[in-house]
Parts: sequence; C-alpha cells; structure tokens
Amino acid sequence: MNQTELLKGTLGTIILRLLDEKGRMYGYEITQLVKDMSGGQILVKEGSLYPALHRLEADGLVTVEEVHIGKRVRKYYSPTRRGKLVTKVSVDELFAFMDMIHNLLTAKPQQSLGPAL
Amino acid sequence: MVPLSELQVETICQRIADGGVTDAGLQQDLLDHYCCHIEEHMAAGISFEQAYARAFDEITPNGMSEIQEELFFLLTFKKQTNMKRTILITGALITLLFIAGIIFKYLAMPGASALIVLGIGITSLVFMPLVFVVKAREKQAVSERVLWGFGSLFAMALAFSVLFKVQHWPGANVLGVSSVIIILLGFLPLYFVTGYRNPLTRVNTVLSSVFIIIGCGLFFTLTMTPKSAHLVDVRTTHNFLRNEQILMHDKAMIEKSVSSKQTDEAEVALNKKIYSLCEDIKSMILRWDAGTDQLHDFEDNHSLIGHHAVPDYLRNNQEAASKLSELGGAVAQYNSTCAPNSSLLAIPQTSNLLDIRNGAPQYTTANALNDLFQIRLILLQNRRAMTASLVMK
Repeated sequence: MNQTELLKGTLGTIILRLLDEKGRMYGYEITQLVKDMSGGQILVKEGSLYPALHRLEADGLVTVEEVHIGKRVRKYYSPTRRGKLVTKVSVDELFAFMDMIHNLLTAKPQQSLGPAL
Repeated sequence: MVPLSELQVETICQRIADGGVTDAGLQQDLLDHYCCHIEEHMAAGISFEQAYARAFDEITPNGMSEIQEELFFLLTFKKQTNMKRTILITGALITLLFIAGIIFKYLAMPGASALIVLGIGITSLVFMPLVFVVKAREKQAVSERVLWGFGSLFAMALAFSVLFKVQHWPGANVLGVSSVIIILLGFLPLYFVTGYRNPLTRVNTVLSSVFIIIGCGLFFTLTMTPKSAHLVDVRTTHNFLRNEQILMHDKAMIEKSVSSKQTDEAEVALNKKIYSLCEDIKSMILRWDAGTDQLHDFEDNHSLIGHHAVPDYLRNNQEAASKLSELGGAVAQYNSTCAPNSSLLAIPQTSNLLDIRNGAPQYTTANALNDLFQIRLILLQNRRAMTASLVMK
C-alpha cells in the first residue's frame, strides 16, 4: 500500500494539529512543514491537501484569511474554536487507533477463535 | 527569494483555469502553491520556464481536474450521507402513514384519507426525487441514470394519479395513463436492452419485464379509458336531462289542474321556495361542472356532466354554501310544519346533499343532481297529494 493511501484517513487530523501549533499556515507551507518534520519521508499530495482543507473549512473547523501578494491571493488557514476542540479529540483518537494497529501487527495471537480445521 | 512578475503569475493562473479547475477557492490555493514552488526553484538558480515546467510535472502529473473532483467528492460526501438519511427517515414515515391510513380506512375512523394523502404527497414530492438524485450520483453509466430517471418519474406520476383518483380531482386518468406510457415506452425498452445484454442479468431482466407488462395490463383493466369515461359522462348527462323532463312535465300538469285557491297556501309557498332553491343550486353546480346550465344540445357543445367531487365546491363557494344552508333550513321547516299534518312525504335530510360532511370526496356531481331531483320530485308528489285530498273533500 502506498503512502497516500495510508495517509488518507489521518490527513485531516495532521493538518488540524499543525494549524493548532502554528496558529495559521498556507497550503504550500503545510506541505513543506510535513516534509521537513518527516525528514522528507512524507510528501502530502496537493490533490489530497486542498480538498481536505476545504472540507475542514466547510465543516467549520478552520477559517480562511486572505492576504493579497501582488496579483495572487495567499490563503492562510487557522483553526476555529471548535476546530481546536476537535483537534484534541481526533489526535487522541488517532493515538489510540495507532496503538491498536501496533498491537494487531506485533502481538502473537493467544488462541484461535474458530474451530480447528 | 524574488517574487514572480505579474505576467508570470498571470501565465500560471491561465494554465490552472485551462486545466479544468473552476472552483474559485481552489484556483487561488493552487495559484499560490505553484508560485511558491516556482519561486523556491528559481531561488536555487533555474529559469522561470524550467521551474514552471517542473512545478506542473511534479505537483499535478495527471492533470489538475483530479484535485477538483476529489474536492467535490469530499464536499458532497456529507450531503450524500444526509440525503440517504433523509430517504430512510421519509421511507419509514411513508410506511407508517400508509399502514395507519389503511387501518383507519378499514375501521372507518376519521383522518384516514389525510394520512393516505400525506403518504402519497411525501412519496412523490420528497422520497422519489431524493432516491433519483442519490441513485443518479451513484451510477456512472448514462443509461443507468436515465433508467432511474424514468423509474422515479413513473412512480411519481402513478402516486399522483392515485391521489387525484381518490380525491376525485380532474386529470387522474391522464396522469395514470402517462405513468404507464412512461414505463412502457421509456423505462421498459431501456431496461430490457441493458439487462438482456449482460448474461448475468438476462433471466431476471426478462422476468421483471414480464412482471411490468402484467402490472400495466392490470392497471389498464382497472382504469377507465378516456373513451369509456366519456361514455359514462354522456349517459349521466342524458339521464339528468330525462329527469328534468319528467319534472317539467309533472310540474306543468299539476299547475294546469290545480287552482291556487284549492291548496294550503303555506305549503305552496314553502314548496315553491324549496323547489326554486333546488333549481338554483342545480344551475350553480352545472355551471361549475359542465361550464353551462343549458345542456339541451350538450353533444354539439361538448359540455358534459363529469364525475367531479362537489363537496369542496359546495363548501368553498360562498353563494353555493349560503343557498345550501338556506335549503337545509327550508326543508327542516317544511318537514316540521307541513309534512306531519297530512299524508305528505317528508323530504329526506340525511344521506343526501343536505348532510355532506367534510371528507366525502366520493360524492360527485351526478349524486348531487340526483338528490336535487329527488327533493323536487317529492315536492311535486306532495302537491299532487294535496290536490287529490282537496278534490276528495
């Protein structure tokens, strides 16, 4: 399975957590930060990042602030009050989920649940 | 880092628009993203042209419209879920309304028709359109979308036709026939062709198609065709005219043979009043239903008495309602003063025009005209009886 597939369900949480830490960020900045923080291992695709940001905006978890730079507009995303609350919850959920996956991938099954064939 | 020139920004912006991105917010995001990417590479020493080509290769190797599709999917996903939830809730509501409506109807409890009408209304105006929208979005093939379109349209038209039928509103048959035409000429051929081509669905398609044809056949058996409905209306109109002739003939005979001095003046006055009220109400109903109260050459004028429900008209038309209540009062007075004293017949006040209550949609023009005929016939008979008794004296 490639990295994009693995990231799919967690991207929203990652974005929220970064915005919560940094206060406000624009799209390109987020991709660069993730790249730096993961030592160049995780590259957030633009095709996933912007749809995810727009979804968070539609759900009222982030707000957008537009800054004009010449002819272009830079959109800074920052978490709303509700976004901050949701960040906490979804980060905790993700940790719990990761523990569970870790457990599933490492622990040896104690006994078989089905009848032995 | 050197910022890009306006012309360079303009070039990138154009490329994004040409790439199929139409969402303004997404366009702004991508423009800034490309600009940042290009500026970073230019800072490392390569030209704008090279940085520009690299940016598009790296960021969107498969084209930009993919991003917009992903965005659309994510943004509408929630809407879709809400829509599906609404379908489930309305579906449950419709089921409850119909079950309660049918039980109420069989137990002759009030509110049955309101429940059923509400059920049909929600089915055709909320449930079916939502089912269509959700299914059309799920299905990729155009033929499948069209199929669901025809299917939903059929169900809506059929539900409306049943609603119009039970409420005796005009146009029920037209709607019913249209729904059958939609399914026979629109849905069925497409369904059959697409299903038959696939070996896995072939048997089921043939079976379902046969069921649909049987269903339509049964529907036509139960529905009056426009021609037979016309014939029924012609018979009703003929019947009405014959009744009127009988009354006129009878009235003329009585008036010829009786001199006014011979009869009870109070009875005569009330008798005449009720008679003329009946005539007035009759004319009003005819003008409302057939467009005219002169039906003698109805076959040339194409004005026929239809089978429309009169209760709503009689309640809502102020003039008709006041005439009807005046008639009710006069009949009550007649029955209490004139009828008990002699061998006169009392005028019925129940199970006819005088006691149409709310929720009697089955009561049609023909019923009302028949009741008015009966009342006038009784009046004439009473006049005859009075004359006879006076002659005997």
